[in-house]
Amino acid sequence: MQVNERAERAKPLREMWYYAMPSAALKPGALAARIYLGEPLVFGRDRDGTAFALRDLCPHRGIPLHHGKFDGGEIECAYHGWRFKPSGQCAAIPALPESHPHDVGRICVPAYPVREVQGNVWVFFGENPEGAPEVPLLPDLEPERRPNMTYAVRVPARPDDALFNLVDPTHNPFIHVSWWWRRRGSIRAKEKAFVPSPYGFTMVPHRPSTNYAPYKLLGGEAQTQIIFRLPGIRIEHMAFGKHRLVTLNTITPISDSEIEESYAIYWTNPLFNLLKPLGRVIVGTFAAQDGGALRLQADGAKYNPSMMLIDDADTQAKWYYRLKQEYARACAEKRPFVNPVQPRVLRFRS
Amino acid sequence: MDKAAAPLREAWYYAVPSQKIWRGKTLAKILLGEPILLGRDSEGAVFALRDLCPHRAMPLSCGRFDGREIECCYHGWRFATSGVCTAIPALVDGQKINLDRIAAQRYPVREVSGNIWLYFGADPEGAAAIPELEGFPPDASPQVAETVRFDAAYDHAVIGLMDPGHVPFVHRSWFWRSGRAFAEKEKSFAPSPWGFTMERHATSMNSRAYKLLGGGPMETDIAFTLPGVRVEHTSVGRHTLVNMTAMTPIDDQTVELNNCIYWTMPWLTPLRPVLLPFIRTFLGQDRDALGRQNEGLKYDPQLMLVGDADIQARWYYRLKREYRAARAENRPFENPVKKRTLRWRS
Repeated sequence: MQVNERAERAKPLREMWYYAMPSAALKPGALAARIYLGEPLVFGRDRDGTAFALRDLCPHRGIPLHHGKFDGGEIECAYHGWRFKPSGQCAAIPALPESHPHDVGRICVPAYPVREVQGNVWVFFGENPEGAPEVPLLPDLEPERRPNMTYAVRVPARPDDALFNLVDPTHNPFIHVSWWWRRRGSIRAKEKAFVPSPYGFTMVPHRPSTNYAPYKLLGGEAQTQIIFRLPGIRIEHMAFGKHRLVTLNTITPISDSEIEESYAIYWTNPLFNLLKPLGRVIVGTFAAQDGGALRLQADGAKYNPSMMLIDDADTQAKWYYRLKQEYARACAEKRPFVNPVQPRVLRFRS
Repeated sequence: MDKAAAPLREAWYYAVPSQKIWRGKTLAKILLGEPILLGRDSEGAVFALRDLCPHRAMPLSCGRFDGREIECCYHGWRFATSGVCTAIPALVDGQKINLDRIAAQRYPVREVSGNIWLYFGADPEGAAAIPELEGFPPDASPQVAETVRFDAAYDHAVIGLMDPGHVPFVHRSWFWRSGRAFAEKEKSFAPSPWGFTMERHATSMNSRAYKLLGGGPMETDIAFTLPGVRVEHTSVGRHTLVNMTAMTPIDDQTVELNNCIYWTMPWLTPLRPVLLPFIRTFLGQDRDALGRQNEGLKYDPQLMLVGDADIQARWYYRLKREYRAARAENRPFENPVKKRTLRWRS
């Protein structure tokens, strides 16, 4: 493969909603600066509670807007006090005298579409948010539900490497080893059925593997379903009798060598609230284990080696690549997206 | 860096305050991305050489200076302050090398009003002159000389120097001006040698520090001169206060600001220790603003120049372009600035 073509393929998809942060991280009247997809963004929440995102650069002299002040109505740039509405439109340039009218409303900071769904803020990169896949609604949860727990971590990894890790079942026995989760060497053959689902694929509901100790304790008839969806969304839905535990796990690229991985976890069993501090440790440990592996991988990736994808263990990674390419092509050719995944049973040891 | 953004080479740049270089001492410094060895010989004359030995590129600043010659620390080659090699100790009798033909590159240097200026181009005689400080003899020394480093590209630092619009937002502090003291300003500007001047006017009174100077009618004019020097001249009754700010590029991403203040009021001199923290706070506010701007400029955004408040920035770009073109075409510089009144709020 040509180096250029490789670089082109590695670019994050545009025309996509990306996970930004939990709604709770964006307090009214506050600003939060982020870099996603190599672009500087400033997120805010206005007085009415509406979230917004702007390019984090003043159009005047390029100073980041997040250094300025936000009164819940307008952002005032720190350098010359230019004021901007949450829409990005300029509202005032203090240096202009009244005798020199100037149509400041024609000056705009580019605004990014923002959506808040089930307690999370999502941001759109592209031209046509209406034509893009919707922000997924988590199954079995009311639209107004907010996560019971959230967690985010930045990892120095190439976005696709992090994405592969997200859909990779066979690193589990080597990376996610701990006395309370699974023992080293506890590896067995598995057989899982997959079907295409919107902009991705789904591991159809099945009983969780018995080599994960905690599941045994949760009781009830347990069932797990795992949904993967572009651009980098993994939803794990677990049912224990009448209760649900849903995990939204996302990857948002920061640059071509760094990502942010976020977790939003929802549960219906109030008993889980008691275990929240423990849950934080568990999620933190998982994220740190993945992060550690990705960090080491990034050391190797510096040499730009070619990589291998084997059947069936890496079939989900192949699907991810195909889905991504198909989406990019469908956008470029302005035609409907056709899911390239076919129903299939995958067999692997993990 | 694109060519337009590169600093002018055929120009005098502020190097260091005179007091930084004692007799018989040297000082190494990077200016315009070049390693420079500044020094003062035992007679008191200042010199500047490229800080690399022509033999093996060892910095000459690592060697010794006896007030007359520099001895390289590596092989002991000796150089006069003109840069010409005077001795190569490794040569044995009978080995004839014409030492006069070996030289460390010399930079033209001038010492004016307590400051050392350096020239980087080929023709210092035809260059924009080092600004004279009206009311002070050429051997005057500044009562205050402050140096601050900015993380900024040169043009942005210079524009900040004559940007009236940032003052109410960046220089907000109890002693200077409060956030609400906004007033409409109207100032007339005229072309002046290699730049422009805000013509003499009664000083605006919303800058509290000025009120303290007291003593009769107060008038100010502010001259900008290429490559990046601002001289603010204030007269209070029979007294004079000159505030000179000169910007020098250190490298593509670093600029050094030198602020020199001269005054004739004897009663102001004992107040120096009180003034210094205020001056440092003020310059620090500019440093912080430019540093933040630099974060945004990494993304190479398109920028805007809006209204009369940004006209001086436009003039700067035009002056720089015309100066570069005139020098390249070996023709006289034609000042592109026209007399004009600017109105803004600050």
